Formats: sequence, structure tokens, C-alpha cells
Amino acid sequence: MRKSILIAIAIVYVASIVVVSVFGLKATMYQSNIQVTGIECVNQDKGEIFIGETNGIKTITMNFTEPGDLESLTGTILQLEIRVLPDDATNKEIGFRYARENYPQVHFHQIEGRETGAIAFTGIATFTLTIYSLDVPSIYTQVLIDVV
Amino acid sequence: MNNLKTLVLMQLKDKVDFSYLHSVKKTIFKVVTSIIKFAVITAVIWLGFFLITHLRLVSAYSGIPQDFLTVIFTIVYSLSIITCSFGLMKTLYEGKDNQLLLTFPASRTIVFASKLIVYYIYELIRNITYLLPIFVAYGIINNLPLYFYLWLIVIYFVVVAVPVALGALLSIPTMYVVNFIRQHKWLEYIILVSSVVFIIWGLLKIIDAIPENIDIIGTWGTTFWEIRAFLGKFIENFAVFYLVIQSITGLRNGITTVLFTSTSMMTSFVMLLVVAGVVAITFVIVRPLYFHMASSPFEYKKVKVNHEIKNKFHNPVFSSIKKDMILSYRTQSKFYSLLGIVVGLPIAILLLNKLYAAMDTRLSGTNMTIAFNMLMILLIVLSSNINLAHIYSEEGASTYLLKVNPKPYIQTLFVKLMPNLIGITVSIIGAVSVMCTYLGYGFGKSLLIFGIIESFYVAHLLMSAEMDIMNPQSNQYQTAGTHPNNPNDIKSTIYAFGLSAGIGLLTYFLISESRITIWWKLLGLGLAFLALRIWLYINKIKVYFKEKQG
Repeated sequence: MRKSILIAIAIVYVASIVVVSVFGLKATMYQSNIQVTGIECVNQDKGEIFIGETNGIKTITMNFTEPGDLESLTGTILQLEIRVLPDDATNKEIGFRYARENYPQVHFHQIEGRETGAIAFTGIATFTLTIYSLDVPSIYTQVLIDVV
Repeated sequence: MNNLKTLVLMQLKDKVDFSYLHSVKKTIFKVVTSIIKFAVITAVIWLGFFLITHLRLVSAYSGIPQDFLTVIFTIVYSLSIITCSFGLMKTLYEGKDNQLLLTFPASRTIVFASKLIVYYIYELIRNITYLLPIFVAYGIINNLPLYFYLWLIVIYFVVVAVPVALGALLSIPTMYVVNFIRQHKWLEYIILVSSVVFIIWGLLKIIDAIPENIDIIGTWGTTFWEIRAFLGKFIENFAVFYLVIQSITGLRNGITTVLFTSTSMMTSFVMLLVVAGVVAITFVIVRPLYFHMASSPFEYKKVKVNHEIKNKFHNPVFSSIKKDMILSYRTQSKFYSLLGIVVGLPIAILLLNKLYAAMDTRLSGTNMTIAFNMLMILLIVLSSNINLAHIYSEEGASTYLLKVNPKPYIQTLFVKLMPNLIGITVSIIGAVSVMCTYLGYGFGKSLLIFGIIESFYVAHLLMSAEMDIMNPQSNQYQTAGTHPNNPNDIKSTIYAFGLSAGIGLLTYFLISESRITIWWKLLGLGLAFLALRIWLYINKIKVYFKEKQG
């Protein structure tokens, strides 16, 4: 059988599953409000970014190379990876808190007013970042970021 | 150097059709169609990437993460290495042009190098529509800068060279294994049977692992992190491929990409070294062997069968069926294609129904599942008939033997369809049994559904064979050995897809009226269609076959 025919059959096959799962299922009601119980920073060693722990607080260390630019997303930029628990929490929105006025060299990337967790550095900085739930502000985790 | 260039150009002309270069009009047409083809493939991949990123299936951030790209690349690249090993084995040691090339006034090293270069150029061309669109789509979806595409062009030459270099080296063990298997038929049978059993067992295990109740939306939070964990483990276990990905696309972290890092540059350099090293080893080890193998093809190593088989008189029909069965088995592409459908169809239907069973469907959803079952079974079995739209013509110069066989034409011609008919009928029985088990249908209803599918299948089979009788293409097969744009194949494909879609739709609309009478209606339709095709097949053979050329 020709490759193009096999591909066409595969597309119809996948479509037959998708169509039933989209148009053929019974309506299901999910629990309307599941509260956040925990927040984790799940960054791991990657390239020039090193993960460690100091006094029970996760530390993220990276080298400052050139000033980070949020327009082109180039330069010294750190991407935080956050997991909100439980996985099926209704509102997984999070906020970032630190002494912003003391660190003008730290810039958070935003899309439509929401911070994405990408941080651009225009200079070296060492600070503690608190990542908290917008749903339950008392739930948070802290990370020590060290850009040297 | 001139010798090398001449040899490369000579072989390239055989492998790639450059005839369009003689005409400006044809060249422009070729370039435009190639660009359109590349753009369409890239757009399809981009669309897939867009859906994945839009639904945040593999990453919490926009764009395609590198770990996911590594999974795709590992599969594609591994297949490339396997294809290159077998391809180079065939071109180096079994190429029919070897006898001619070795008589040219050029050193063996030049001939060997020319073969590798031609294969490399062929791979460069082939990967333009295979590997390259994946990276271009990745670059677009991740908003990579313009210089990424320039870098991609540079690194593309290195990335494609690695499988060719490794394939050249691996072609030696591949050739020994293949030759050993060729000389020991029993081993071929054992490998074939055990591979089929292993594949079926593996697929059944995977299908069995599908949960009883799929609730993707309800469990998505956990499933997402399981996907992330799998991708993380994957790049750990296939770190080499991850490094190659980094050398091509830089280091991506969330939504940011650094194209040139020390690791990526180092990996690019190592890849170059690997290519150079492997090519050097290949020249030292493979080149002498190449000359030895090329000048004594495997056919001469075959052990001659000394015992004579007594000529027995068999029934002409069974004798012809047996002959065509053996012919089908010995034509590997045909045999594996048929075997794939015979085994693959029931498994595909099992997977489909297992997934449907795990969904909590409403009435219209259940009707959809029945209609899709009919559609998929018909689509696969009718597509298997496309090869029969050239069954008589593909014998090329030998087609006339069909006319001189001292038996009625109808018998000679129909018997050639038997291997497919028997194999696919067994497959239909398996697929219908699976479908009816999941739908909870009894034996009577299962028999009805089998009758419907079988009648449409046989009708389309006769229709495809009849196309070849009415519009024979034996001249093309005689001269070129193949016919990529055979009009009969195209017509048969259109009918296969049209008929399957029509029956699928009819099932969906009729089943909501009555769940019992629908099967009788469809069976009536199928049998009427079959009767018409049998009548046309017999009469067209009687009237036209003798007169038709070829």
C-alpha cells in the first residue's frame, strides 16, 4: 500500500476517535471548586541553570551573560516551572512576590498582564522569590534566585 | 576528481529524474511544485504543533518544547539510520550497476566514493520533505529568529550525513545477516513468524493497558504531569538525540531559546568528527569488502538444489492458486503488505473499539461508533484492492502468458486474485468478530455484517481488476518496471474511499431508523452491487480481454 494511502487511512482513523470523543459523549459535570493545597517549583538542572537547596529553600543559580531582553526573549533569562497542587485545582493562577523596588535589574515577562514565570536580568541579582496562589494566598513556596 | 564527478553525475541521473532541466518551463514547474509540496508538508506539521501548543498538551508554556521534539526526532532519525543501512547494503553490494561501474577506467576507491556521495545527495533531496519541514515548523511555532533558518541550512548537511555514514558502516553486518537469512530459509520463516507473534503480542498488551474508563478532561491535571515526566525520562535515556536537537535548535528553556550555546556548538563539532571518523573507518573496512562483494553477487553463492521434484498432475485451478500463492510470498513487498493488512485490520478495529468502550457515549455517539467501524473496515480492505488495479499489467512483457494459457480466460485471470481474496476474507472475519463482540451482537447479526463487508470488498476487487483489463498498462511496466501514476490505481483509490465513506454515512443515517433492518438493507445493496460487478467482470473478459493490447 502506498504511503499516501496509509497516511489518509491513519487520518480517518484518528478523526473517527476525535469525532466520537467530541460529539458523541454524554455531558459530564465536574466538581466546581477544588482549592489549591500546595505549590512547587519544579525547575531542574538545564544548560547553564543549576538547582540546589539552602536551609530547606530551593536555590536556582545561573550565570549572567548579557542583559536579558523581554522583547526578543534573548540574553540572561530564567524560566520558572511551577506545579500547582492538586493537579485538578480549579484556579491555578499564581503570583510572584519579592522586594521589587530593590531589584530594578529584574524584569518579569508578561502576556496580557499575567506574569509567565520568565524573568529577564539586566544585571546580577540575588533575591528570595515567593510564589503564591491567587486562589489561597496563604499557600506559597519560596525560591532563592542567584544570578552571578 | 573528474572521474568521481562523472561517476556521480551518471548514477544521479539514474536515481533522480533531472529530465526537466532541459526545458525552462518544466524546470519552473518542477521548482514551483516542489516548493508547494514542501510548504504543504510544513503547514500540516505546523498545524499539528499549533494544536499541541494551543491545547498545552506537552508544555505549560506556548511553543513546542525540545523534549517533545526529541521524541519525534529520535523516531525519525532511527528510521533514517535503519533505512540507510539497508539502502546502502543494496546499492553498494547488490546494485546492478556495479558490474558496469567497475569496468570504468577509475580506481575502486573512486567508484566506492561515488556510490556514497550519490546516496548522500539522494538523502539530502529525500529529507527536504521528511526531516527539514519538522524543523522549519518548529522554528515558526517557537518564533525563532531568522538566523535559525540560515543555521538550519548549514547544519542540515551534517545532520543528514550522520545516518549515511553510520549506514555505510552498518551495511556490512546488515549484509551478512541478510545473506545468512537468504541462505537459510528455515531461519527466515522463524524470524517472520516470531516477529509477527511478537508484534501482535506487543500491540495487544498496549491495547490491554488502555483504561476501562477514559476521562481525559477530568484527569488532565495528573495526565499532563505524567506526560512531562515521560518526556523528561525520554531525554535522559536518549541524551544523544537530545544533544543533536540542541545542536540544531539551540537550548530552549520555557519560552526562551538560546541558539548557540557551548554545548550545542560542541555537539555540532562532535557530529562533524563522527561523520569524518565513521567515513574514514568505512573506507578502511568497507571499501575492500565492497569490491569483493560487488564482483561476486549473492546469487552465485546460492546452494544449488540437487534433488529433483517429481512432476505430479494437479487440478488446474488449485495448481494455479498454489502458483500465485507462491508468487505472492516470494514478492516481498506484496507479501508483507498483505500480511500487514491481514494482521493489522483486526488489531486496528480492536484498538478502535477498546477506545470507544472506554468512552461514555450517548445514543448518537454509539451510532457513530458503529458507522465508524463500518467505515474503517471497508476503508482498509478496499484500499488493499488498489494493488489489484495493476495485477495483470505488472507482469510487463510476460502478460501475454495469460492469453496463451490453455484454460478459460476467466479462470486464469480470477485465480490471480485468490491470494488477496483469501487473506483479506480471513482478516474481515477477524475484524467483524472483534467489532460484533464489542457491540454485543450475536452470531446472526455478525454473519450479516460479514456478508455486507465481504460483498462490497469482492465487488471492489473485481472492479479494480476489471479496470486493468479494460485499460492495460503493461507497456509502462515492461519498460519502467513501475508506474507511479497508473490511472487505474487512482480510480481504484477514489472508488475505495468513496464507497467506504458512502457506506459509513448510510450506516449512520439508517441505524437511527432501525437497528435490525439496516443490516438487511445494506446486505441487499451489497449483494446487488456484487452481482453487477461479477456480471461486468465476466462479460468484459469474454468480450474485450483477447482484443486488448498487452
